[in-house]
Amino acid sequence: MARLRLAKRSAILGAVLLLLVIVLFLGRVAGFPAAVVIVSGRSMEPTLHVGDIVVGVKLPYNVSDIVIWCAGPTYCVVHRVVEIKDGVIVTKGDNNPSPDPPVPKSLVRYKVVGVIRWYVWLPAVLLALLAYAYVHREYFLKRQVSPGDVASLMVVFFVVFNAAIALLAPTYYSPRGGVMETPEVTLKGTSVTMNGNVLINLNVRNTRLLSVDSCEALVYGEKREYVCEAIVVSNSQILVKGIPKSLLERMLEERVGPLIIKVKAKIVFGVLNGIYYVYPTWRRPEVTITNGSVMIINPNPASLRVNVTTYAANRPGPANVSFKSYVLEAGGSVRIDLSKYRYAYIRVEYLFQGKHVIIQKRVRP
Amino acid sequence: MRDKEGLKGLGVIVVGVAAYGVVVNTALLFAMMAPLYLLSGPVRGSLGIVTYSIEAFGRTYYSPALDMASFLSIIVITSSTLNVAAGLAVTYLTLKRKEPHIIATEALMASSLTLLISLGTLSGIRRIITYELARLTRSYSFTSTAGAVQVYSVHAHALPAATILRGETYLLLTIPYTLATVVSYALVLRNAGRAEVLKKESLKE
Repeated sequence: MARLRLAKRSAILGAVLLLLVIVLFLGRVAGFPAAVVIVSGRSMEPTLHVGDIVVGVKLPYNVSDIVIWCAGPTYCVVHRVVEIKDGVIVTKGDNNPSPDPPVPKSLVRYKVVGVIRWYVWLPAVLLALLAYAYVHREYFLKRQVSPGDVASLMVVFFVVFNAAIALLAPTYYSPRGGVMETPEVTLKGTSVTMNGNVLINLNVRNTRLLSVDSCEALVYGEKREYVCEAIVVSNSQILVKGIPKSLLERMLEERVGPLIIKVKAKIVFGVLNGIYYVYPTWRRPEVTITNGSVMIINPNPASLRVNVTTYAANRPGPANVSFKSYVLEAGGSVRIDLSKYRYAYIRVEYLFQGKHVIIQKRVRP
Repeated sequence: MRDKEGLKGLGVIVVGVAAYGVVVNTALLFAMMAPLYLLSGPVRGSLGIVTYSIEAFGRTYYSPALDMASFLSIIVITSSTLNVAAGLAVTYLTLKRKEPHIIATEALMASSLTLLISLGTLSGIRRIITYELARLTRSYSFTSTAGAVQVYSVHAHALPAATILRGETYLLLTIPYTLATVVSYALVLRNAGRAEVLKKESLKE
């Protein structure tokens, strides 16, 4: 009799608990104030693991809270809030490398307030089922089984099991698939150094420059290619050396260019084939006069030939005319001292970008 | 009087169907649990239904789609396990009693019906794996202002488990099995009904 009462009581308790669980799990579908959800993905590891049950309640949330947002009955996400802005929130899985696309705030259903780990609830459920079977063992053992009983029970159990899997664990299926940080290489710019080398500056993400396999240089519009030497100087820079000086000189004096550098470099996970157009910033030589001295500076990364004619005298009348040609190296300069004369003029001529440039200046008085 | 020859023949049929079911479902369990593909290249690792371990460009790769497939595989694994258990039970009981066991045969039929139910899920899982595999093995080469970046190819090597799920093989294996279990259960029931009739007739005599 006592055993019968115990069996009855445990059956009622079991039914009530089962109903409560179903209500809580389906709460998110019906929009109840609280709901539970089984985690089915790994995007929130190590905070949440597959199989953990999270308890959500309709409460206000802030950045760094874990929330449950749903775009449908079986399409839900349990992620952490990283940003809240006008009408939308941005969430991110703790294990994901980048955040999710922004979603409207209206999709957020619950704030996660508790977690029941899978290794706590699963053994408890199994123990409860075993205890239930033990309490009702006489019923199960003595029951007469008719044809169809077993099949019906099995099929019904399986259909309910199927439905439970679909409803209990909301699935997050992103059409984008998993997030993968693929290599990104873009050109930041090119520049010519004072010693005539070319620096290729790149933006490199999720990979690394390893080495340069080949390098060729040529001038735009010309067929002749020159072999150059290129090395990786940092994760984002390639230094190209060995560009013939004559090439740069021609570019400076004549209006030819740009310089084209063809590079084949190895990167982690692949190969970079780049063709870079280099537009050096050519500047006219600076001619400055200080206390009767003339300084001519070549600020360019290529040498420049300048022809200097000086007119000097100590009294009015015919002057001493002197003509000299200088080759100013890249960054180089020349100083002409005319301080010993009372009257002096200078005429500087050079070829710059295809133009014949003449500068005439009075040096003294 | 019972037809002993008929019973023996029926027992052979039932054991044969059960054994076939055990083999097919064990293969299905193997296909679900074992890795299906090995990836090499910038994306490398192993890809399976229940578990995957992929490193993409030096970082661990997580896919919500694969996680979902892994979770849904519980349905197919449960069904296949039921089938293996029922098949073994039928085989054991039939060989022990030298005649088919009605309840066990019924359980075998029911478990094969659950397998039929789970085929839809399995088909979906296959589609997810195929889609993810195509995604992972796509070309990652691109062109930018820095030039043409040729990323090394990702190669996928199919493992034996993938053969079981390839094409419609699993359908050709499982659907006839389900039909066979239904037929064998019907035969067992019919035989049990005849036995009852014969018993009643012999008692009357």
